[in-house]
Amino acid sequence: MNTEIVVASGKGGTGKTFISSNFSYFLNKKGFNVLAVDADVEAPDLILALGDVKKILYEENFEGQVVDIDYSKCLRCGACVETCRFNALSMSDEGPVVDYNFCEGFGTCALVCPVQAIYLKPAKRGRIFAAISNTGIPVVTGDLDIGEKNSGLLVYRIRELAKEYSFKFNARLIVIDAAPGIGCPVISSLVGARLLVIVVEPTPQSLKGAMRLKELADKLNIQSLAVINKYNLNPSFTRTIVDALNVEILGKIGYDDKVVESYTLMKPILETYPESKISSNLETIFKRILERLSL
Amino acid sequence: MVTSMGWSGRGYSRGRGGMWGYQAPMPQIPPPPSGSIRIVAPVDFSNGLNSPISMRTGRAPYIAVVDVSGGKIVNVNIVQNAAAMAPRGAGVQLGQWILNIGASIVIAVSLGPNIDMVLRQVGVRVELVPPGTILGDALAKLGFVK
Amino acid sequence: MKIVAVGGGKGGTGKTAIAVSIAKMFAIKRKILLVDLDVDNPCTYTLLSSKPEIIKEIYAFKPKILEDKCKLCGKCVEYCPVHALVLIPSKKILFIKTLCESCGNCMIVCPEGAIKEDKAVIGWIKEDKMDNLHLIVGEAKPGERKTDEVMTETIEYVEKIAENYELLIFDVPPGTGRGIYDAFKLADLVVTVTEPTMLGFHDLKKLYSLIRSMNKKSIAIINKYGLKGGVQDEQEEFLRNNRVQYEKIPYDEYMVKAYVSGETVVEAYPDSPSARSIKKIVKNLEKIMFRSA
Repeated sequence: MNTEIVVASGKGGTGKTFISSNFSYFLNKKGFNVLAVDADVEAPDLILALGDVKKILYEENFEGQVVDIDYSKCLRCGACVETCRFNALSMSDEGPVVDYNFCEGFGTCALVCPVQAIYLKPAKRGRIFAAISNTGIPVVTGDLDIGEKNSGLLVYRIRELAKEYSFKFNARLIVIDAAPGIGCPVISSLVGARLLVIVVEPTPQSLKGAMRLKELADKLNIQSLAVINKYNLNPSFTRTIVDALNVEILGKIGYDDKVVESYTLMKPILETYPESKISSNLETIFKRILERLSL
Repeated sequence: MVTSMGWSGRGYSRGRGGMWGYQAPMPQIPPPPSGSIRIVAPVDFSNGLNSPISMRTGRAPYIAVVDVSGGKIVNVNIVQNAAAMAPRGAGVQLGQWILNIGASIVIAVSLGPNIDMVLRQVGVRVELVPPGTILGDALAKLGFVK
Repeated sequence: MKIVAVGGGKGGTGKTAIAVSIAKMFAIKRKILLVDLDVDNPCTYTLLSSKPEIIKEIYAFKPKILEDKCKLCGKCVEYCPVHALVLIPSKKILFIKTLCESCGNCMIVCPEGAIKEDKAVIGWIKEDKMDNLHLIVGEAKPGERKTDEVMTETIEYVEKIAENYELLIFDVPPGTGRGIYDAFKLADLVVTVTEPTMLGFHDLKKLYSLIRSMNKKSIAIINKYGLKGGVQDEQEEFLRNNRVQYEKIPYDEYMVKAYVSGETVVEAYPDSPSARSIKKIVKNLEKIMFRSA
């Protein structure tokens, strides 16, 4: 049985990957076999933050469906072009043409075709893969094709692959870098997790997002804890957060050049600047998380 | 605008009650025998009454369907959860199936917002149990089985 | 009237700050329309001390079930690709608005004609006018998934008023979806903003796949140039190989300071290296867009 800890933020750009990558690194150094999962497939930066790919262990395509046209049957009546609400069909001299950048595969066009010349077929939307990062921590994540979006199913598949690899690596702890926001991919990132760590920055939008995330976690019976990141950007609003967010605040992390640098260098700050104040704050926070998990 | 439908399941919908496109439908199972109540629980693997109840519901790998009558188990059916592969709305698809098969009770660890709403519509009774609970134990503890 | 789309990577590259700075500088002499297409989280107005007001609502198609005509056959449920419809046995069809993708399948397959076209608000268009600089903001309802639709409608609205302005600047969010495509399609020039990190580079390459496929003229701005350990060398090589002209904004503390205080760096720290680079970029854009010295 492995324990999944999700790091999420109701709004993007708050530094969730900064926290999850350093947390994974910290756990690894402490001797826990840890597996990192990046559910934020539209910005797959967790593996970059952990030193980039050292070796890919496994990959597979992630599929969805799209439409295709049997031109031998097509009457060029244009009903399909008129019907598609995603503007994925246009009429050319040869007949209707599908723009695969926009086709969602819902098949509305197929439903109105008077001669059933349109059918659904599988299509690659991206891929999911497992790899060892240069920090030695295994990571499971995905990569989306142009124009494709994250989905609940994709996150689910990534988590399933992660569970498989957690057995292979004997990893008791799985750290999940969740998709941003509060939609389907986030719910899929949260379900079944043991603990949620909310990363919030001192802006009103971030606080709003954090509160909605907490609501979601409560509904799913998942314990929530919070970390305030980049607190020095607005110390007074930081105090507002402490009052407004009904969650235990594990600690505050400041924002400065060292953070930016560690990001650029693709190394956790715990590795590049272990003696810095930020690193010691992070360690305090991570130790507290372990305490809450009784580990 | 629609002149004919042409839904004979030729590659784009899998038969009666099939889901649109390439998604596999949930399996068909007969209604509960008269006089029995039907209980559904998402489980992590198929091991009869020893199956552990899953932390997930909508995307649980298997669904256990237990028919109980007078404190005795009449039927145990564990099926693969096709809803797990739904790109979106997995909980809804599972919820719809639970309504279709005439279940009146669901035992789970937690319910996602969508399936929760669907089940409330017909007043399906939901019993939440701690993660790792074994199906047979849950049925006994909740008093469905003597 | 000329159109520039400013696109770029994930939060933090400084794209919005740069787009707003460019807009402010051009607005000194010209009538400018700045369009915020970051519908999930628009923040151009935070750098302009502006409070835009709603001028229009944006709708998406939603089905409306006519219960007196509905025979509970369940066909709509079968053909909904995202399970937004549920058949409550012997009672009614339940519609789950949050899952609806507005495809219209249900309306088409209903044999009783019991599903009519209805609509729901998915976002708003907001506006503020500040002397020469006008701002239009597209904003999606929180949690709304059809963000591309909100972007596209905002763009369509803007197209109608565009001729009143000398220059239109789109602040385009990261990604490669429909809304972004529509903004790029209209643009005479696409300005891509990136930072010399691996993720920034990853996003840049993806963006250029789209830009190349659309055959759009573009220039790139490498923001935070000089970041220790940054991949600016690889980025410059990539841009050169793709024959893309590029500019650099050096990494300095002033951009962050200005952002935190809710201002653009060109106003708050006009003599800083970053501000001076931006001014140089604007002069260059002026030449490209208006062929003047």
